[in-house]
Amino acid sequence: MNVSAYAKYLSIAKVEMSNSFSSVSSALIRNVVIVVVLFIFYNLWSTIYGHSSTLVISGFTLVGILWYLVMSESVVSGSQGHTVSYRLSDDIKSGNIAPALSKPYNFVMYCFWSTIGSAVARTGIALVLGSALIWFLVGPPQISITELPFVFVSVVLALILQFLLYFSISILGFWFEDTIAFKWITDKMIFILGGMLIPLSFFPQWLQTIAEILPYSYMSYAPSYMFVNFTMSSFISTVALQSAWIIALGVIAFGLFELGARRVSINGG
Amino acid sequence: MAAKAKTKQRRHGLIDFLVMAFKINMQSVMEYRLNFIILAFGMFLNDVAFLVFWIIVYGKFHTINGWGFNNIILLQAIIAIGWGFASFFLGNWNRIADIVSKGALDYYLTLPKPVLLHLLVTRSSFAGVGDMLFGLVLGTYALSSTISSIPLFILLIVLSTIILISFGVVIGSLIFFIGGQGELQETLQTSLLLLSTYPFSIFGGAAKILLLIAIPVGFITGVPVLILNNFNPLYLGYMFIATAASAIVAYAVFRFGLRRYESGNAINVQI
Amino acid sequence: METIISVEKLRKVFLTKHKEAGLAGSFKSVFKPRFSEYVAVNDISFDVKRGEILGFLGPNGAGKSTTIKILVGILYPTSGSANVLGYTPWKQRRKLAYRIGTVFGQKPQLWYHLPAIDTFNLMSRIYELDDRQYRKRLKYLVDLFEIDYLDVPVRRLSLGQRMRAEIVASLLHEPEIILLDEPTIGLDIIAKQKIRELISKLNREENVTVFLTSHDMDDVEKLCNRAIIINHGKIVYNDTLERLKRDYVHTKRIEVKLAKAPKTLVFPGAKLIKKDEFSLNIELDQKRGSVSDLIDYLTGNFEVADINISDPPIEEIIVGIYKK
Repeated sequence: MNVSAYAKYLSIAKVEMSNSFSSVSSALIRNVVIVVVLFIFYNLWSTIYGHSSTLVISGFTLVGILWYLVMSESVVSGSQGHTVSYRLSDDIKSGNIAPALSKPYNFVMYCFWSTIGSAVARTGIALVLGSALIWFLVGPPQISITELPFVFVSVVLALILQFLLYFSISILGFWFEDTIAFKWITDKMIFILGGMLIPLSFFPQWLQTIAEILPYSYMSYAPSYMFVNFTMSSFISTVALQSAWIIALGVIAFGLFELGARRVSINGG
Repeated sequence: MAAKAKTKQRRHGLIDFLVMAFKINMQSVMEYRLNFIILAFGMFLNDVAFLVFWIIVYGKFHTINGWGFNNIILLQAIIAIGWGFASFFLGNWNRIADIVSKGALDYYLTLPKPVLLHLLVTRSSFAGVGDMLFGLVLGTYALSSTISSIPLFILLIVLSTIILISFGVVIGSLIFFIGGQGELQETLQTSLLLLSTYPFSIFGGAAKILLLIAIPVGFITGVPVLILNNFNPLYLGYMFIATAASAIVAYAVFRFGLRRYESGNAINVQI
Repeated sequence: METIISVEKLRKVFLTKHKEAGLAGSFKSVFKPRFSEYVAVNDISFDVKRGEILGFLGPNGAGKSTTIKILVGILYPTSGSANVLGYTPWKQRRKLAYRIGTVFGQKPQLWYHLPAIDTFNLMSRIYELDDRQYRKRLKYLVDLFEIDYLDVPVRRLSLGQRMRAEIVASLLHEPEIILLDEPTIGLDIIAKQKIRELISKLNREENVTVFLTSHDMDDVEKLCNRAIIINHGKIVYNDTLERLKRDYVHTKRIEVKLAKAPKTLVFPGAKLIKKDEFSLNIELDQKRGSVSDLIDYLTGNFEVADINISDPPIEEIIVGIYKK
């Protein structure tokens, strides 16, 4: 791909990102939910920890688990911005996909860049609001500023993974009448097995093993755990595994899309 | 003339109308059978996922400030049945803001039935059936050993559901006063659901008072579970007071908002 | 004849909030809002008699919808009075509702995913109709409006079919007045024609009073006995249709597409408004020359590919009224 092709995709991402920021009040309103969730979790976990700041359960202190949840909730709330994927199943059903396929860009790349722009923006807004609350309630996170860029890399990889998963599910619309049920199940998989609601280390051993094998944990648990327990070696192994999953899910996404697009040309749109 | 001849039947008019409204909702269900099954089943699974969260938490900690696992089951049963009932029979209970902002209220205003009631019964959410089923399964499990408390359980669900719907009406009616597209209402609605699905015992001090008086979320699940655990007529009395108060407030806020709408002073609303 | 709608100095003022751009502007507007007044309806007075078909015309934003909403009781006025069938609409909305029917062209009342018959049955309960009477009434209306698609889900009907069913839904309770807000909007010429025929037939057979708003001169020309034209909230014309046609709407627009470049146009009463390489846009004064003669002249002297005849837009009729 040449330079101007990249410029095209980057400008798509930029437009989506600024679109997410454009209406400040509605962005803030939408993120009120994450503040409420974190307020509830603050109460829940403070009660469980008996308000003790030194107690360690399953490798987490109270401050640790609350900052973990700030990150895990924010990363997933960013993926709620997968508007392109959500629109995509509708477009497939109505046949509106046909004109989009004939545009001078790679369709998967187009969807990817327009999604990642808004996902990064939404995660950012959620992180700012969530951090403000938890900082006020329990103080700063235990991470140094030099380690933050590494966490950022893992967060972006988590967002890419979520995109690939949701995109693949939308593409199933070529074969299934309605994909909404698949989306719900995927959401819940990320909530539980992805560690959005609770870290995997609190699971019973057998469930933890299963969750670590599945890709969901790399969409929320991995970057969040790194955020509260940073080590260089865990960064390297996490990013390596995230990249491996990106390749695997990427192959599936592109493959499904190729198969689906062929159906469009056969059915004539 | 024609109007006079009709006055005689008017006493049964409202019930006839409600029955017909329900029938027409059922016809929509039959029109989209597959969709109905998918949505109802999907919502059931959705609820199960949150149950899994609590199984994990209670697998590790046996009680949270006095709340055992059985309490969580009761709580989930109450909110699921209430939410499901409201969504299935009064499907617009949490969509008032959306309806008003889209200018769809005029339709109800040109027809001779009570506006709020007519508005509420005009939609039926299929997912509500999944919620109700989930709630019934949990309720049966939690109460299997104490069958005698089933009538109390039903009474508490009725009261809790009235409070829940009143909340929906109040939050939705805010659109008459602040305008907008209904985003704020959706957010508040979600927050309300979230607050009522966690053990009430985790909130202490100021938060507890806030949740019992300012925004009485505590009466949707918290107080009913307390009563089921340990019957206390005083708490049941509070429950009745909270129910009556929220229903009156909801009706008043809607009426007052509708006045503003009719006067054209609900300026941010599309008229 | 009995007067069944009377409106006296009706006025409706909306307050509009202003917000400056940006976040600071949002905060400012919360604490120190600035309002400006917008007069939608400006002291209008008129009467409607039983059995009339009245056309209420005006460009978009003239105050048509606001007036109709006041007359059915959805909005209450800032000042002035109105009386519909002996009721004050905004005080006795529900009583009035039993005796009038409303159709809002852009706000359908039919259930989209269900057949029209289901909405009709629901309406019979909303208006508390006696079952036997309702069946009889339904059969009569279904025949009159030629609805042979009672069992087809509304989403699969054409716009014209939908509008016919919408009108039936608002007639089931035998209203004495039917108010139609832009009933032909978005329809093609044939469907428009059909709706107009039905409304006029209904008026003849049941003596139902019709109050119709439109921005389409054609609707009024084909249907109404009387027209009220409203502009910027004020009534600029209120008289018979004959006078309107004679004094103000005596021109036609003729748009001609040509196969060859046009020559000069010489025809009495014809004025060239626009001329392109292959098309002519002509305004014809019908007092000086007839449309059929002009067409004969055009086809005789030009190589005509297509001809389209229409009324002048309502905005221009209003300009004509102001000029007099």
